[in-house]
Amino acid sequence: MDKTDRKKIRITKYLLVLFLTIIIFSAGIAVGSYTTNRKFNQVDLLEQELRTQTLAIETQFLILAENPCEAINYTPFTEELFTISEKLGYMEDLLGKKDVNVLRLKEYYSLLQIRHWLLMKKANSQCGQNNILILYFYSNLGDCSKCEEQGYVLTRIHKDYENVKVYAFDINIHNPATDTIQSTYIARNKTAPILIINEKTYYGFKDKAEIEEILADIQREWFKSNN
Amino acid sequence: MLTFGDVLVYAVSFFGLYTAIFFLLTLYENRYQLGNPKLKRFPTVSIIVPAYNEEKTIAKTLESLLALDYPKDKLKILVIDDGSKDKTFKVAKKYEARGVMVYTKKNGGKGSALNFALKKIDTELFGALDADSFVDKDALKRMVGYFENKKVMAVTPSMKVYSPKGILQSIQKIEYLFGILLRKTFAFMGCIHVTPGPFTIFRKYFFDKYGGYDEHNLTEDIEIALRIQSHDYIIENSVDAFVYTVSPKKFNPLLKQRLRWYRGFMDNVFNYKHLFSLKHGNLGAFMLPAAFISVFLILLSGFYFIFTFIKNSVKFYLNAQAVNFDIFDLNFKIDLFFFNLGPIAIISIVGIVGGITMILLAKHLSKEKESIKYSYVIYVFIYWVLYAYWWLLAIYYKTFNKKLVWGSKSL
Repeated sequence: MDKTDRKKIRITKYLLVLFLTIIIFSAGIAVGSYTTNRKFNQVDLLEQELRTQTLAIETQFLILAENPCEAINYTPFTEELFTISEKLGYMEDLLGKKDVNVLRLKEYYSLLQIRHWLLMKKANSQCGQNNILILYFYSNLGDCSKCEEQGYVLTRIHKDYENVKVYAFDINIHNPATDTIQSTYIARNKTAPILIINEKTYYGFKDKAEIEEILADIQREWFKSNN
Repeated sequence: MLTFGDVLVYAVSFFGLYTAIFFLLTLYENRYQLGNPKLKRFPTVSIIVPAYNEEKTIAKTLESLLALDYPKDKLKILVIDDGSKDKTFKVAKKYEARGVMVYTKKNGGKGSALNFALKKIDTELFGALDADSFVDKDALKRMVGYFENKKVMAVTPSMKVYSPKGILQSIQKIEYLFGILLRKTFAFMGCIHVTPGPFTIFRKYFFDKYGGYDEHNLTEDIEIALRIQSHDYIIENSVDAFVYTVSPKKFNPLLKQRLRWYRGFMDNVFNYKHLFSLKHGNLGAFMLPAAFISVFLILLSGFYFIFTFIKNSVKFYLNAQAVNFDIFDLNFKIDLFFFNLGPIAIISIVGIVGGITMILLAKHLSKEKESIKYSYVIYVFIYWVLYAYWWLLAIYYKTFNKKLVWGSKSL
């Protein structure tokens, strides 16, 4: 190339570079989208996992009816429930809050939690267990500034107290079962965060110390009535 | 759904990828022309050393010039002491016995020192060497061959940081290495827009015809380069003519240097805005617009990064505070389920690979023998933050017309 020609705009070179850029860029996006799509397929796996858990809890219910207390001397499925909720949260971030698959899974998960809650309630009343059951209603539509903090506090409590079971419900997910719980325990027009601890409702954010105080009261009450 | 952050990452990646491919393709096209032209004759050359308070480094600078492998009868060395307050003049005077011409004048800034010297020389070519820079003994010999082409008005050297130590100099070391790669690429595209103060060699004819240095300019090395480009002459680069410069070791002197460079760049580009035209080829159509786009994107990314960082830090602090900072077993779960190599991650990997390819190429071109691994890692994480900060301040200084200073002369 002549040195004086260097400055000249060679349109073919600009177009070739644009073409190569688009090819490399698109290839990058295609590979990335492919790996993300593979992640989407895990929605099905998660759904299967939820179905299996549901079936297991149903079975425990039946066993409990036949042989009260003997079958439920251990803590069933609490950790699995917790892991599923984390995975659901991750899928929600990845696919979006309004994704139909995510919404379906969350609804399914709500039902599974309610069944588990009912089972634990039965274990408490029939077998004299002291499980403290917390139903936590949150919203992630940007209208609950304290929900994330409340989630941290409840996770801490769940880790620190073996007999505390936390069930988290999206207040915006509606089905007959969650609606029944909401209409039974929550007054109209109340907003998240809302806690129902052993069937008593608390509105607004509760810090760790406040929740620990409530737990201590429940604990005292339980010892009094069982001794 | 795409967030603003996603769009920004895509825009930066696309722009970065386009320019990187353009540069690499240009180098590939010219792969057989990386060397210097054969030396047919030794033209007469003057080297000017403008000095202001450089008593500590001027002796080393002069020693490196006296050691140049170039016929002594074709080479003149001049020191212009620009009214130094230290012993610069006294130190330089000692070199008169070895043929160095030493002058002193009232302080007036670097441009005035160079114009002062231009009146005293009659050689075909001339160059300047700041008194804090040193030159490789073969540098001049490698550069003068380009002037056989009558359209060539300047030849730039390859600059390296002299004996880099500490984080800031390590960052500058990599920046200068990239500079070597870019300057050669720009030469092949006909769009060098900076003729570095240290040891760029000029054809004196250009100054005789179009006037001397602009003494009121913050960055006369940018002004003269744009002037040469606007008259449609050629600026060449000799990739193996090495010049070593003492770069700022501390944050404030470095900041001051960058404010001068970037503010000067803006001033000069505004003064030569007619260059933003297809008539001026790659420079007007691609290089100058790309320079501004890159600054815009880096500033936008900087703002977004700081905003996101503060927002997430506040959120994290509030969440951690809610559990009395007892958080270490809460959120750290290793599970492949939570690992996703999405489009942004893949594009980032492409960017990292591209960056490493370019720095390896720069290392090869600059014949750098020392390891640059650690410097490069520091550079990747810190440079863009500093770059955004320097530009932000430079824009602030330009907008509010704040004064900057070279030597003791206020501009």
